[in-house]
Amino acid sequence: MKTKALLIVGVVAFALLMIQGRIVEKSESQKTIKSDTATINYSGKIKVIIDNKCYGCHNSNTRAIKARNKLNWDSLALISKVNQISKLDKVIETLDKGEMPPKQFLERKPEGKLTDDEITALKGWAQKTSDALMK
Amino acid sequence: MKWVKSLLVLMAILLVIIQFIPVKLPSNSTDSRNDLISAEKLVGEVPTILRTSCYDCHSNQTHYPWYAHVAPVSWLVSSDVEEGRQKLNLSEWSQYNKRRKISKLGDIKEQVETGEMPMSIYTFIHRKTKLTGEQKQIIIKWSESMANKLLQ
Repeated sequence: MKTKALLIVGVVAFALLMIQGRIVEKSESQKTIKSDTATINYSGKIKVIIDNKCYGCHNSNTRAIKARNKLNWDSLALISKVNQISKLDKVIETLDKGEMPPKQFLERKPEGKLTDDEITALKGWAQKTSDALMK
Repeated sequence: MKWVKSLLVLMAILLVIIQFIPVKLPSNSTDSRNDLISAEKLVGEVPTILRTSCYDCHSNQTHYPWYAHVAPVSWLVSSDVEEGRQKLNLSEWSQYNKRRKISKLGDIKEQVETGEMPMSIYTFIHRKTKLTGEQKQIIIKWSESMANKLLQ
């Protein structure tokens, strides 16, 4: 009995180590501080890119909760300046790492891939917009 | 009960074998030129909390206990530290631009607020790294005020 109990404890401990539960869906945690928000504008070419390649998942009514919590184009104008800068920085960081749109998504929808030109344009816009917010 | 014995023996053998699979723990550096605490001249509780609860994964000053060198723990530690440093490396703080600093401070606040960081597997093993409610507030307030200061 003792060996069996020991074995079970061992297996449980091992399993605990392996299952580092990281797949946690967060609820919306964006704070709205209206007093110091700024408008974020995008139009023309940038709007076309965002509408076609980002907005499908990153909007208020999406079923992609994780995507919405990380970046929601519908609420970008409503969040605090600090959060706006953070979100824009994430856009740049994510594009630099080539993480968006996600690989799995592109397997189903290869036409969703961002072209190099689009990446450059989007990054440039995010840089310019966040620079303006930091002035 | 015979199968239990053979299973234990098998596991022991397996444990020995996996020690030969090469794994490299991310290396440490004592260079603190770009370190958050020294660059921003942080004093008081904030640096203490950061050093205790964050620096093991989010700096180049990881303290590896002996068992961190033993597989399969070493695999986990290696990938966690690597990922942690990649997402936020407080030893390279000064190299972040202002925008990234603000963004990382926002992340720190959010992760601490939601209790996602420090990771529960980590605080389970390293009890003293678990943040108390009071410590969480200190970190949240500090990250907010520092982000706002950067904006001015």
